Amino acid sequence: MRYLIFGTFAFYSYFAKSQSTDSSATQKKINKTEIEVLYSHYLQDGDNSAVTGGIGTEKLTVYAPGIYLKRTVGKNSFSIKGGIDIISSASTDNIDYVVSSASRLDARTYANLDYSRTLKNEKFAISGGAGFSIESDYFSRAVRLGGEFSPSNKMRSYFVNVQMFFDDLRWGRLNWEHRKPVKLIYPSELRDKEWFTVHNRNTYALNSGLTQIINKRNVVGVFLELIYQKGLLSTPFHRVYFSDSTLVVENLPNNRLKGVLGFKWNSFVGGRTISRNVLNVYMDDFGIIGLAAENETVIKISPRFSLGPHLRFYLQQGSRYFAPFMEHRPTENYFTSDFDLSKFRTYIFGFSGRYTPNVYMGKKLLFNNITIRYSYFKRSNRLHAHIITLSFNATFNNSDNTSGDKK
Amino acid sequence: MKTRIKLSLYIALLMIMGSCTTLKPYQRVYVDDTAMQIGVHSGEAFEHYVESIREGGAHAGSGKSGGGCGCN
Repeated sequence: MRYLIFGTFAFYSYFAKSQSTDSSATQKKINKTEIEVLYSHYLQDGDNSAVTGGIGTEKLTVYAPGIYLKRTVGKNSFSIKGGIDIISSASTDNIDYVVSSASRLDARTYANLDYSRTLKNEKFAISGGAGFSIESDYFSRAVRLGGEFSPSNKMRSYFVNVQMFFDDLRWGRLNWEHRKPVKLIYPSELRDKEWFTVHNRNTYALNSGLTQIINKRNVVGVFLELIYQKGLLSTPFHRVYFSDSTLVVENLPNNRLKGVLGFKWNSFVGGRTISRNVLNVYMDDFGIIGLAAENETVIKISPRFSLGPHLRFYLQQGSRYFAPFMEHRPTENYFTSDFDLSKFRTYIFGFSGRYTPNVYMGKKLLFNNITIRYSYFKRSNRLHAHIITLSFNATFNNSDNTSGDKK
Repeated sequence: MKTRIKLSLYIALLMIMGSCTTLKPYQRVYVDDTAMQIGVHSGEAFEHYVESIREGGAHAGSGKSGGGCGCN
């Protein structure tokens, strides 16, 4: 069977190479800057906070502004993405060394820099980047390298990326008195001992994929991702209550292997409707198995307006290390009451709308589009959330010649 | 049973790859539409981030692999 499959790939790859593009048109050097400004608002509530052992409020609000800039000059692209997630949560008070009012604020600040270059024959592109993310009790550094190959006819593309995250879970960097990593944060009543001797978490991810244009109206993609994590995978401020009422800190294995297989199919139906479909299968060695199916329908009301609904259904088989409040036995080696790792179903439904005027504001700034997206997230174990995202896209044309509608 | 599943997947792949045609630039009106691109679109990235935190799993092809935050 495997020889049959490899032989078929080789057969079709041979014929794909025989096509060539029309090179009679002259090409100008691209020189533009793409700008995206976005804001996301997240409202969550639930009853199974892991900070308090699987019971208690999960009420949380996140204010998330962000910006993305991409400058393309010829075959080179430089991009920067940054933002800040401001988190207001009642459960934060059960974590930090600084105890204050009922709804304390925390923030995650992040930035990523990336570079990509299309090589001379325009079939290959290489990319690389680095980034960081910092919270009061978490600091992450990331590195990425990748490559993409597209045959001359542009009907298919392959990519492979490697990402590495080097994380430090110690608190103190953002505290004005310390301004350096000090220690792990445990639940306030359990700070009489050091529960973990490791404070680092490293993640290594290999992403690969293939996209194929099937015909004039259909595009498919197949993606495979393998992720390996090593180090402190427990969250040190998560409580676990054993069945005999003993209180301990969550304890998970210090390595984890994850695998994800994804399929995407986009189809232009009729003259105005696009159907975007995703199927995702996930497995890891914590015992979690997940299956997700999504559909988004985009209806082009007019050349400038489009809107449509989206749906997602996710089914998760929980980790073997999970048990609810006071259901873990004291003899267990690994235990968590984090309901994110439990058995549940998730439903997401919502809608999005987009206005695409493609109109110039001034001589060089092209207003591309504005998008609003709303989703309602409901998990079968009583967690629910509202997600609203507003994004604004524009292009600054750095070249001397402009095109598009003039205002 | 496993052989039947493998054979079915193989036949489906054969049909997909067999139906692939080469499109000329003027035939790419539909596939070049912004909404037809396979990648993650505006507004979806934050939603994927929420899903990666509130679910134990991960998304293939979304660019977010886990790590980088105090989540799963």
